[in-house]
Amino acid sequence: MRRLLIKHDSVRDVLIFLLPSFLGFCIFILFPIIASVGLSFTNYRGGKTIAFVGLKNYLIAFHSSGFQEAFWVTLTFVVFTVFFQIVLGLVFALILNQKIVGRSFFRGIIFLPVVLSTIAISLAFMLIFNPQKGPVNNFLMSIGFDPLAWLASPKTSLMTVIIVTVWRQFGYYMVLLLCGLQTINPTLYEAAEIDGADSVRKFRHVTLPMLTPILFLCIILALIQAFQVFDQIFVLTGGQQGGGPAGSTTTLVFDIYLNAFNNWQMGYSCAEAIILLIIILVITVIQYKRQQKWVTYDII
Amino acid sequence: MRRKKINPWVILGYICLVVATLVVLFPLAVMVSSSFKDEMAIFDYPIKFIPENPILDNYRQLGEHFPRYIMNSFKVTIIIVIAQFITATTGGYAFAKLRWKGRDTVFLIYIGALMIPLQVYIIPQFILIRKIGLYDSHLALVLVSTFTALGTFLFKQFFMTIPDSLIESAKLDGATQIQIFTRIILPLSKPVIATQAILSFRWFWNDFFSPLIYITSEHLKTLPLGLADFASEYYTYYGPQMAASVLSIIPVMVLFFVAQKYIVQGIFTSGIKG
Amino acid sequence: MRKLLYVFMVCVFMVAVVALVAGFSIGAYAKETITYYLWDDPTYKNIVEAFNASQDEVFVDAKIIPAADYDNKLRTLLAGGAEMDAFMTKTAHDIYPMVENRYVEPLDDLIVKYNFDLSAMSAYERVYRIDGKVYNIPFRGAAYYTYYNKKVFEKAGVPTPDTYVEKGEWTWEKFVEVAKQIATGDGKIYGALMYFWSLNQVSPAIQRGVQFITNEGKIDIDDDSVLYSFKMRKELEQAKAIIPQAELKATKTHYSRAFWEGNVGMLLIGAWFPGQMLSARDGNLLKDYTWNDWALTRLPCNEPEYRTIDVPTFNCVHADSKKKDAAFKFIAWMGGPEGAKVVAQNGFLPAVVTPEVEEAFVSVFPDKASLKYFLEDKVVMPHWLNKYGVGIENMLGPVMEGYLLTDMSDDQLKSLINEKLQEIIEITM
Repeated sequence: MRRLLIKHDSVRDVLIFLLPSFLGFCIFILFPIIASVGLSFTNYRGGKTIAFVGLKNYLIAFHSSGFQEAFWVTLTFVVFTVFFQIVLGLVFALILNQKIVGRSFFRGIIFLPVVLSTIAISLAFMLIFNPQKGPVNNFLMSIGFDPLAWLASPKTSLMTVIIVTVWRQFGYYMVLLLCGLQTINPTLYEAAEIDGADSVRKFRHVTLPMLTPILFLCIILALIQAFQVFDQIFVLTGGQQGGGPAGSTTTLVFDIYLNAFNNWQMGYSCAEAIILLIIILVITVIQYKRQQKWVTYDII
Repeated sequence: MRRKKINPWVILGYICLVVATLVVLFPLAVMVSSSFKDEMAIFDYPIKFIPENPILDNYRQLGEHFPRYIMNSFKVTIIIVIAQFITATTGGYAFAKLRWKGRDTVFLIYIGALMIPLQVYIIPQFILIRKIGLYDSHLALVLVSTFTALGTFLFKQFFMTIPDSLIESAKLDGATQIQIFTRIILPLSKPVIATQAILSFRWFWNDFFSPLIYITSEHLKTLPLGLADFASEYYTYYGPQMAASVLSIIPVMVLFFVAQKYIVQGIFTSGIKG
Repeated sequence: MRKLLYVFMVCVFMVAVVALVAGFSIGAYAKETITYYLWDDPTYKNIVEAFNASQDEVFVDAKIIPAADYDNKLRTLLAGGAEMDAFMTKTAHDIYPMVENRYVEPLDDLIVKYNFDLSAMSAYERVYRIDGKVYNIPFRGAAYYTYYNKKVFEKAGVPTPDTYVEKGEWTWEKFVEVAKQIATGDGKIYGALMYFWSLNQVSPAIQRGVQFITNEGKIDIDDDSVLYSFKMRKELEQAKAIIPQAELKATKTHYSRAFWEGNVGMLLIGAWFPGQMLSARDGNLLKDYTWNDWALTRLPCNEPEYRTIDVPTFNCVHADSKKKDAAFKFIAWMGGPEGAKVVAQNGFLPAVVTPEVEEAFVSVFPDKASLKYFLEDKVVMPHWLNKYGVGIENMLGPVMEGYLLTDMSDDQLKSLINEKLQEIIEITM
């Protein structure tokens, strides 16, 4: 019989290393998360009084048209943002994976928006998309199209926010996928060539399968990031004036912010937040479960 | 003589790259050139990227507050980066190399918390900050920003790649954990530390939401908040807004061009190991 | 070299000590300083400065926040327990949640202590007396007017609104007609600007006295003035007779700037606007027209007896302030006759109108008729002054935007409003 000796390090040592980060984490992150759950069962309005109201906030949220609208806006926003970020990221990663002249230049330029301040670029886009005088509309008119309302209409405002978000972030996923591409073992390609595969088949049977772990990671990251987008919505669609035209750009996180800091409804806002949290958890768990079906891990 | 066949896909690839470059640079070019134009000229079409009559007035208008905002951003960001360095390296080490009960469960909690948007728990966090009397202070920003699990996660991943044998032999030589940490682990981690510092700097320099909630005093505002507030004052015109935006992006752009290699490397490491 | 360094450091030290001592001694003569929050209307700074200059006991440290962000920031500040002694309130019905959250100090005792005459502003009692106690002191009177640009009317060949007022014909229908006549239909000249605050969305209904949600929590919108308000704005926007609301928001255009551009015929806004016109005059910001080319008259009104809309703006003392007496002295001054005089000189209607106030106003208006309309006695209808006010305020804008930009039948609109109001009643517990 083999005796497994698991030696634990001394308590003192563990505490010295663990405490700085863990203590702060507990106080400023973990505790607020738990408290959020608790607050969601109250009618707290930011003042000195508080009362327990049970599930009332949740019930209100579920049949509140404001919450439902925010839910659909969020869903639309997340789906389109993730889709375009990943697709564009993949396309450009594939391009840059070839022997391209000036590869690091292009990679640098495309990645640049990722590091810039969201506020600054949102302001620049507001200028560009100005419905009456902006260069984009001027350009459209000069080639014979009708100008679009961009941020001024509920039909196009969400699309505009998506454009800004994708513009900013797809470089990040491009870099991730590029790295993924570069770790694919070249012998796999050689083997495929020997079998007579052309570039399309190489892509389908070597590149794509080998890329799936990184692709999976990108999708998870993109999903999580998309749910958290706030800055652009705040600046592009008039922050304090309650979101885009007819609430068309109010995502769930933005609604949470508005309800808490604009409507004095902190208890209700926490309930919304917990519902959002559950949604994110469910989606993430679903993705993790499904990954077995399509993600191939290293065989070699 | 062999003539090399030009692959049409490659041409397409180049075209895409050029288009992408233009799309990326266009808003930035508009931003920079508008910052030197007066209101009338900003919306001239076709756009003259080099302004006909450049003016410095837009930048002059920023002189009252923006130097302050920039100083605040530097101060707060650097403090956070340093604090994060301390907590993330120690925490990462605790999860990677030390053995203790419940280690993996706790780590799972860390990962879980990463996925939760700040807006979900901002209200209790806000109430907490208020209770300890730190509302409207830089300390509040530092406290709420330092402990995010991302740094810890990255260092844990990296430390796990350091061979245990190195540590074991040091222990045999009688070294304490602290000595092992400072004399062996940290020196080995220099590139990762650099990368993490740069990524952190970028993130917190651009952070908007926390300052939005926790800062109101004019003299405490960081750059993103100052910029957003500046843009919403009702007599502000586009020119100064663009000038302020340019100021916001310069430090990070400089950092980026200098440290591009590290940033990309960092994303690579965090991605692959994730 | 070393010695020089020592000398230098001693000098620095001495300077520091002197500065410290000097600071302390200045401190000894210092007045009591109070922290006061307000928004960035330039005329308010003048008023604070006038107060500081007028006496020696209290010094007001004004913390200015951009107007567009003010409500949010103030609410966050209050919730965050930020230190403040007094503050200005931009949205009148906010007083209800503020009282409930105990952010504001009841002023009855201080009023007695300092002998403040509240009777002069009894017209605004509904605004300052909540649950029997006085919680704020109004300083700015309430009334909406039609401001107009005579040059634009001239160019369009249309008689100015005051002619219709004199004939008793200045109804909303007439307003729509005139706006359409002036507008060129392509966005170059607009007939009017109706801002996107909620009270601008449903002005006719407010004049009618529609409550939206009564104090008892019942929905009250059974009046054709509600539907009419929506239809009117839609008609005007579709004819490009007014600047589209979504565009105003998307471009963050302030109503004052738009009116100064000189391509808007009329502006329906409140009693503080002459002050902004003064700023425009002083800053040379009027385009294509001069100081003498603007005037004001009554708001369009369909009611048999003339009514205008709006609620007064007021100051509060923060419940946790440690300098309540000093804070009260300031806000009492601002709301009382002396403050009123300064307010008038700066171009907006104070809460109390004394003969001195009237005199001070003469230089603020380009003509006597405008002054007359500005100061005449009139009924002022407040809007949603109860605890549901916040919800109603935040709801009307998006509903209007949805209505303006999609095709909704009357019934759909009505049921949408009903639904939203019902939600507000539920959530406001």
